[in-house]
Amino acid sequence: MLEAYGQALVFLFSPSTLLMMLAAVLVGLIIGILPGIGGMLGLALFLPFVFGMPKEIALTFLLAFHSVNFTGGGICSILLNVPGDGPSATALLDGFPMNQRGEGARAVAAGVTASSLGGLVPCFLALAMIPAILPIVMAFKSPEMAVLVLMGISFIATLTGRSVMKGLISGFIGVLISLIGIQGATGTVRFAFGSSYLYNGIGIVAVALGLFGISELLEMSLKGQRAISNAPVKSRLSDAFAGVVDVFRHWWLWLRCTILGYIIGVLPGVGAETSCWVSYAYAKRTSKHPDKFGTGVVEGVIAPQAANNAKEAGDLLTTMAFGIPGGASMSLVMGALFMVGVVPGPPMLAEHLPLALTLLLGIALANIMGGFIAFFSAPYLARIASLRFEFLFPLILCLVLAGGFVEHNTMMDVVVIIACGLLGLVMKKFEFSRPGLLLGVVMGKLLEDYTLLSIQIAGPFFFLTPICLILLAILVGLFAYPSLKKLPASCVGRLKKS
Amino acid sequence: MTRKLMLLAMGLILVLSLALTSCGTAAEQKPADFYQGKNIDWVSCTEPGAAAYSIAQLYSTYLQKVTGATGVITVRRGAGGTEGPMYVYNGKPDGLTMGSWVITPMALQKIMAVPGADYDMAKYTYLGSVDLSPQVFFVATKGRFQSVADIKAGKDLKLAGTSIDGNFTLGSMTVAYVLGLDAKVVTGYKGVADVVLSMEQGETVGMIMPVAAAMPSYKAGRIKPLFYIHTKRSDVFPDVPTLMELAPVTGDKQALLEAWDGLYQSFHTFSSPGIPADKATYLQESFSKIMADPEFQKEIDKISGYHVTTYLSGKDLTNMAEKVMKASATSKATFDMLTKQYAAVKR
Repeated sequence: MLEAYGQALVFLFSPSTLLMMLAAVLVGLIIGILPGIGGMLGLALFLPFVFGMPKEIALTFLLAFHSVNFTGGGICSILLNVPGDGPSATALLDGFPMNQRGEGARAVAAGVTASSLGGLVPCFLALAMIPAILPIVMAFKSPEMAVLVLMGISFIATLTGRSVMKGLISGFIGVLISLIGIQGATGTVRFAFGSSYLYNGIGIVAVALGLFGISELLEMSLKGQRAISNAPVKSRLSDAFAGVVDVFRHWWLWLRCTILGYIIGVLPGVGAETSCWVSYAYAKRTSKHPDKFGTGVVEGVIAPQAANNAKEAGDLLTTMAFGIPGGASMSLVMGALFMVGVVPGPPMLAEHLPLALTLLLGIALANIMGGFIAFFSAPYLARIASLRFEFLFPLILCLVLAGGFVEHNTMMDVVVIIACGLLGLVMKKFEFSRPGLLLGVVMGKLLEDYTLLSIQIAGPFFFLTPICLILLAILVGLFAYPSLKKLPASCVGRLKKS
Repeated sequence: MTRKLMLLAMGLILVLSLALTSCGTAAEQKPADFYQGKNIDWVSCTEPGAAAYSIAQLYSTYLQKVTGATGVITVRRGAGGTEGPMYVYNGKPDGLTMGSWVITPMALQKIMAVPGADYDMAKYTYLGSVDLSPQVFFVATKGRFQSVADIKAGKDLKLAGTSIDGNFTLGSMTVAYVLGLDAKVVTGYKGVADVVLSMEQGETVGMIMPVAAAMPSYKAGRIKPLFYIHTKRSDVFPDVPTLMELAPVTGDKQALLEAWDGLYQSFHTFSSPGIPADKATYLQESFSKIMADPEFQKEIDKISGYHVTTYLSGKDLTNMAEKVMKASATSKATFDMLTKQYAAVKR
């Protein structure tokens, strides 16, 4: 084992590997920052280079690139209110208001620190955690997944904003949007109105880009705003350092969200978006000042950013250790492993232990590199907030529309982005919950898919399994907790009165 | 007047000579010259990472060496899987639009009249195909069902499927029908990875999968093959029997298994219908040249995870598509009957 570690470290710290990893990290961060171009597309672009390359180099490059992608995505969300990818949409809820207050450097630094450490920690815990992961993965069948997704979707109630009713309506609209297209299990076409574009449903990225990016641009234009920031921009290194300190100040929140993201990551089929939204909603629900979430509190940046990279690390480890890809991007990584002659799964740890450790430590190193690069760039990037809006508007608009287009190569996605932008503007004006709608889009289809599978397998009472019941009890507990917490105080008050 | 007439005549001669010269150039331009430096609009009907996408990438690299044309690959898998085939079907017949996919889902979409599948399989210009990947019934290595006898003895079994009209689902239904199982096919799984996990979790018993798609899980020791759905064995698993060997059948059951012989999972490349014969022949010959290249074959073996022995020419593919489409009405009636009997959900 020690020999394998030694081999891995010697390979990783050779100058050529370090240089190559640095290049991968830089490209990964840049692609992450570009709106709409997620890691999946980036991986697809680099996959051809795997052909003919030595496996250690090819895989370290791909994984280093992928590891820092979400770190970059969060930066774009915070600075421009444009989600770099689907999961990063959560970072803008509090990150962008911080940027508008001139605290962009602090928000970015908090985000990248939470994200990098969130990706780093699971790598070191991986070997210890691997024996514990498999029973979890095997225990979560379709019924358990259905209840887990139900837990996720119930967080719409947490993201409602001032009016619960408006929040629930937003979530319901999101769920309806998620149901557009062909239902896989039954083959039924729904809400497509004869348009073949709608058969595959509406993409989460297009909805997120429109709902947040375009609507914010339109609003700022209508207000005649001169720059993103309404206050002087704090763009010194010490301002960024305050963000790092924030993460350590909220270490307990960071740790909980990292673990939450990691656990969601090891469960196949839930998706990165789920881990971020659930972590954000969890942070808000357990916060002492939930009402401040959405107005620019640093916890609102730390929670989802910690979860997104932890999720990816968890997903990656499950793919390597068991050959079970958790999501689409991991299927791609699995394909790359397969192409270079490495079969992911238990044989990989047995037959290619030095390679497995190289990849594991490589992910850790990439996260450290990505964190440092992003941290030192944060003060400069934050200055974007002070740029004149007439220069920024066309640039952001082009980035958003191009980012939306490249996902499926269709102009219809651009139409969806603009339509969602107008919808977002109206929702903002009438105080409907845009995060609630997006969460509905993210979770609605998953809930339907898992529920249908569960009914086919175990009938309508599929939720009567021990794990489902425990999860349901936790769900009830989470919702009852704030009222229960107030109960003793109100009882004491009544007693005093009487 | 005479001067005007002379000028008119000279103008006419000039126009005619220009027209004739250009016609001559067009007529004389050989396909080999035509493709030099051209861009090919190449559609992948699967997502990056899938074998069909990787094969398209490999094809385009080698085609550039042979023809000098550059393949620009874009993923078009929208419209429920019909976007890619329809894009190529409606493409200009100039030989500069191509698509790569797997023939089974493309044929099944057409046979099962999936919304949006408005193409005619027999009209495409087929260029070449890699690997006739056979379809095999796999079960979990550590699962409760380890043999056909175990499965036959089981009650209220759940076999796995993906989309209701998909290859995996209809394959699993065929198995249930031919073996006379007390089973339902659970539809809605997203793909092989999801299904393999469900088999390991004990949620489902097994599923029909093309060998190419199942290979990563097989090599990881997670699943094992029980039988081929086809009437003949393949070199990939020479010791694995066919369904026909296990359950000698006649009549409609035999016809159904024979129909699956035409539904091998083959990664084919096709161009728009009606491209000029000389270009079609040139492309088909170029693809044959590529497929005969040992370096190309070595790369294909890497992607597939096993030694691929079958490469089909464009003409073979055309015959195959015609055969499948000729039997499409009968196949649809049979698959509809199977869906009614074995689907765990109703349409």
